[in-house]
Amino acid sequence: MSFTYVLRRVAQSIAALLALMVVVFVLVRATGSPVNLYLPLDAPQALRDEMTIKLGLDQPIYVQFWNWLVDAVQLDLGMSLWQGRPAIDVVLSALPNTLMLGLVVLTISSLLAILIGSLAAFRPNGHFDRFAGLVSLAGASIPDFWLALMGILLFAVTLGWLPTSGSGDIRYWVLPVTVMVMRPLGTLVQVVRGSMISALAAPYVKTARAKGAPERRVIFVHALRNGLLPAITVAGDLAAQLAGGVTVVEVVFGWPGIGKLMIDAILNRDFAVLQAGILCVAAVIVTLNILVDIAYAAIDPRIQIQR
Amino acid sequence: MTSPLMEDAGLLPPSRRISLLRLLARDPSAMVALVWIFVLALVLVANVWFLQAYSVRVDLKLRNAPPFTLDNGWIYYLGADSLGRSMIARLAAAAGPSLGVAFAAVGFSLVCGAILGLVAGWMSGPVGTLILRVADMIQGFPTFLLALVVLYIFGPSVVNLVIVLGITRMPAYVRVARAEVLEIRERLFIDASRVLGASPWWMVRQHVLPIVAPTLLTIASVNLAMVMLIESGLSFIGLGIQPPAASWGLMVAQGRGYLSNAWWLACFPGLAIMFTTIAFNLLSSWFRMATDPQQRWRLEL
Amino acid sequence: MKRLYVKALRVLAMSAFAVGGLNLVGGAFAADPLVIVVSEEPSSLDPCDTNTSATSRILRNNVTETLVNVDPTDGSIVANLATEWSQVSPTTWRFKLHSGVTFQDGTPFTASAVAKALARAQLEPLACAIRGSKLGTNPFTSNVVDDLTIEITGERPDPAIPYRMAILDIGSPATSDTERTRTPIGTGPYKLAAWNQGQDVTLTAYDGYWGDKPQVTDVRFVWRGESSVRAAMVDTGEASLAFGIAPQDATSSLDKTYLNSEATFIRLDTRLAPLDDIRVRRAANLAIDRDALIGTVFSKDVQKSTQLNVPSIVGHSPNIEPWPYDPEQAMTLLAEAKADGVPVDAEIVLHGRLGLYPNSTESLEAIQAMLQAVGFNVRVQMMEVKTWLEHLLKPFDDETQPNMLQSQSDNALGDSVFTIAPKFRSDGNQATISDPKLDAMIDKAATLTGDERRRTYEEAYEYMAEEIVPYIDLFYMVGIVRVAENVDYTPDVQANNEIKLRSIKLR
Repeated sequence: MSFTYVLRRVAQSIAALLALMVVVFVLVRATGSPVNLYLPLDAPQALRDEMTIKLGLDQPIYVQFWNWLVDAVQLDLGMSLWQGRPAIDVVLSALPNTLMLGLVVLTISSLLAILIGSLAAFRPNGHFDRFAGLVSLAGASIPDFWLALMGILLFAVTLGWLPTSGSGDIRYWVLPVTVMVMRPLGTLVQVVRGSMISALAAPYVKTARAKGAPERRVIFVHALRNGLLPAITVAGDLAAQLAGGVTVVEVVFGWPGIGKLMIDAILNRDFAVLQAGILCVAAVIVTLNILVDIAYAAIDPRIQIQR
Repeated sequence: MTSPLMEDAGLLPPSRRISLLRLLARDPSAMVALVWIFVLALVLVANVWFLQAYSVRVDLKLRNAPPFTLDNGWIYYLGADSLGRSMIARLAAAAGPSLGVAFAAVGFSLVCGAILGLVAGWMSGPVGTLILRVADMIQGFPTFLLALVVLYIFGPSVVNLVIVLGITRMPAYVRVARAEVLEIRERLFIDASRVLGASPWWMVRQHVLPIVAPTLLTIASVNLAMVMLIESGLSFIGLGIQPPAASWGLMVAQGRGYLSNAWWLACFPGLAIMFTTIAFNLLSSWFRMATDPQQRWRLEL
Repeated sequence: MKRLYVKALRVLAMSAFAVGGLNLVGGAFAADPLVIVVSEEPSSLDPCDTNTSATSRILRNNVTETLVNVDPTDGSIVANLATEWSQVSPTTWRFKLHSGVTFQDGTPFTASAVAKALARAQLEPLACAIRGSKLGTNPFTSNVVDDLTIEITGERPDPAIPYRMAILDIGSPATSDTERTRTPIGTGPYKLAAWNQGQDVTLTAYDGYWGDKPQVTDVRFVWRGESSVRAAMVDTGEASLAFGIAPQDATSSLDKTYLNSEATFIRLDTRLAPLDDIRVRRAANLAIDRDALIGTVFSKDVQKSTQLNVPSIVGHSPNIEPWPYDPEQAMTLLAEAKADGVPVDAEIVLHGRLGLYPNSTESLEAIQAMLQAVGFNVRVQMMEVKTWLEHLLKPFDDETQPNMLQSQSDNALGDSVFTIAPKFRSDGNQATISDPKLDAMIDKAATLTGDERRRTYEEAYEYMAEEIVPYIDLFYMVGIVRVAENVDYTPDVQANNEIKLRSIKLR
């Protein structure tokens, strides 16, 4: 895997990002002018016109986009009308919260999935496999907002063990993380199990066993290496979803993350924050995709990356 | 290499097709799922027939009536919501939109995705690349966030909901369809057909579709569950089905304020979503097993 | 290679926990702060935005103060930063100021500071929230007589100037003239310690305060969208005060109910048939079973409203009776109108605002059912604040379908002048009616004082109730706040807009 490959991927990604931003730019302006929202109810027309000009909303849309682009390259993503400070600050005060949560969730669900999936694949259709199947099915099917509410009802309101919402020390993480782990766990267990079954049936595994390698080594070293490939792709996909912020969970738990911020920006017609937020999320996802591709290639040198 | 899949696509005489049902019978969890789907179908019929009236009957004296008692009549056995409407009737009335949106969105993404993928594969030039790149862009972006922004811009109507959900799920179909087309485009029998003067559409229908169909249908069945969950999440936020119409997700949202004193408002619709999603997932994994020659033996024993 | 991968992930997870935990823990306090949970985060903490309750409940008389206050019990004006006030000419009032007051940044509080605050609140580029609605369209100028005396003059005679000064929060003269401040500096008993966007606002006691020092020295405001979550926070000890509790969550003995000066109603668009016919509007009012709504969707303590103003406001007429529930009469009226060719079957869209008050969406669904029961054809359309605002305010050119609008009005300011013109005068920006006789009454009342003023406003409302019927009047609302056992706090009618931290005592 060469440097030129990475460079090419980065270039492609930037092109994709640009295209995305054009679409977002146009769409966002279709929601209606923010001028009416930020001026008092009976502001005279002259004042509205003045504000429109000040915000640059009177210019043709491609001029607006060009100006925005020029600023964006210098990392100036505009001013948040709603909060009165740079949009990039607003986004950066929320994005890390989501990313932290996402990282923890992904890590926990990946580790658990590898463990459960591998053990399940070891004896397909055995007791543990059936149990794993049930768990993953339930996990993938539960509506996360409903689970969040039931969790709050049980652990916070009825038992009082955990706080109801907000963010802070580790107790505030327990419910959101538990709720958010369910779906990725369910999906990943199935994927790992499936690919591990195929991997464990491969000839080289039989060879390893014939050579007398301990079972643990067979599973976790030989089979897992190949069994993990589809899981990595799926995990990359899940990471992308998590980077966008699991909005409903953030809303229910009052977690100050990017999903909740996007909703609030939409409700407040804050173009700058909305654009900045989408740009940052897209940038994170693009980075993740490149990392996944690299990880894929590193694990299995047989993979042909050049397409 | 292609024949086992062709038989599953129903292109073989009826005697072979029956075995599909028998395969279903061998898998108990899939049977349970099918039963649930059947129950839902009955519920939908009942809704149209007589339950609809009860679902809009506001009776403030019965506000938050508790479940599991026959004091108010059998129609209130699962309790009443915050406006005194029967939970059974509301759940039934919500089944329509919840299932309808899911099926419509999946159907839309299946058909359009397949067409776009076929086009992208067949005409691999700038058109094909463009389609693929756009699909990548859509797939790369968090579904929920995308749906959120688009629905807010265009307004949360049922049509918009179906379109948005359909579009966000389309890339997978596009990819698969395109990959299959690319693979068989250069096959011998295609060349032969072309020499014989067959049109591209005929070739697509006769050769490509039967191969692509099972995989696409598998993806579709998995997507059903996912789309249902996304729709309920969007309705929960307020951008999906709008009141006074009902959807299970919306009912959970409406029950959110009553968790400690009327838990049934949020609990039952959530269970409905969960059971239906499980049913779809079970059926889709059965379908995957039945159409994968390597795994099929599990159902045939 | 795999093990390395797994190990690396584990390390990452640990550090994520650590960093995440550090990131999200709020600032440390010397004393345990009193936590107050409200429904929304303020979008601005600038003193000139105290028109919005999210801002005023944190700032008003806590961080910043006003020249005078409105007494919550009888609506009269009482002293605050000003000690005396008198009308020296029809257009000018003179205020004498308290001596020995300083802002939290050390600047002395003088007449010139007041002048500056008044000018700033009217600056066009800043577009302060209080400018249009509360300061009115009458531009104010001020004249500094001496350090402790200031004269405020309006372009037109305005007896309500003292009331307007009750909503002008005075910020330090050092506050920027060109942009909103996120660090408000006032003369109040608390100074702003920090505003962690998305998380909390913390206040701490100001040692140089000119009045009685509060008992509670550190306060932390947090916000949660759910009433049940807010209520639960007091139960679990996470908060001491929880505002905006919905009726169904008010099941604890810790809940205190108070009339909050809000009146809810449904505005009828009288420009479009069938709502242009007064019989139809009367029918709409008669169709609503208000008693059934009380104690169910609305709190059991709400009162049936007869007009826009709550009883404590100057201009509230005691002579108007609440509408009875008479569906038969409603159907008769509709039949009469129909016989005269009025299209009573036309679809009417009922615009609702999400989260307007607890259970607001449900109340609309119940009202829709009641209207449909007498023969109206009503479709409910719920919308967010911003979209709803577009329907609330003129221009109404886009409204081509007969419509009703769910709305709520609060007038904690004591005088009708603040609400009657924008809502009912034909050029008012929320008015869907146009009646010259009413306009004349409104104009006349604004120039009068005392009992004459009161009586003229009352007549205007009586006239509207009889001859115009612009609204479906619903209720005077209550607020519910859950107060922890060890806290002594009694909410008054202004509690929605002003959380009086000074009055809070710990047992």
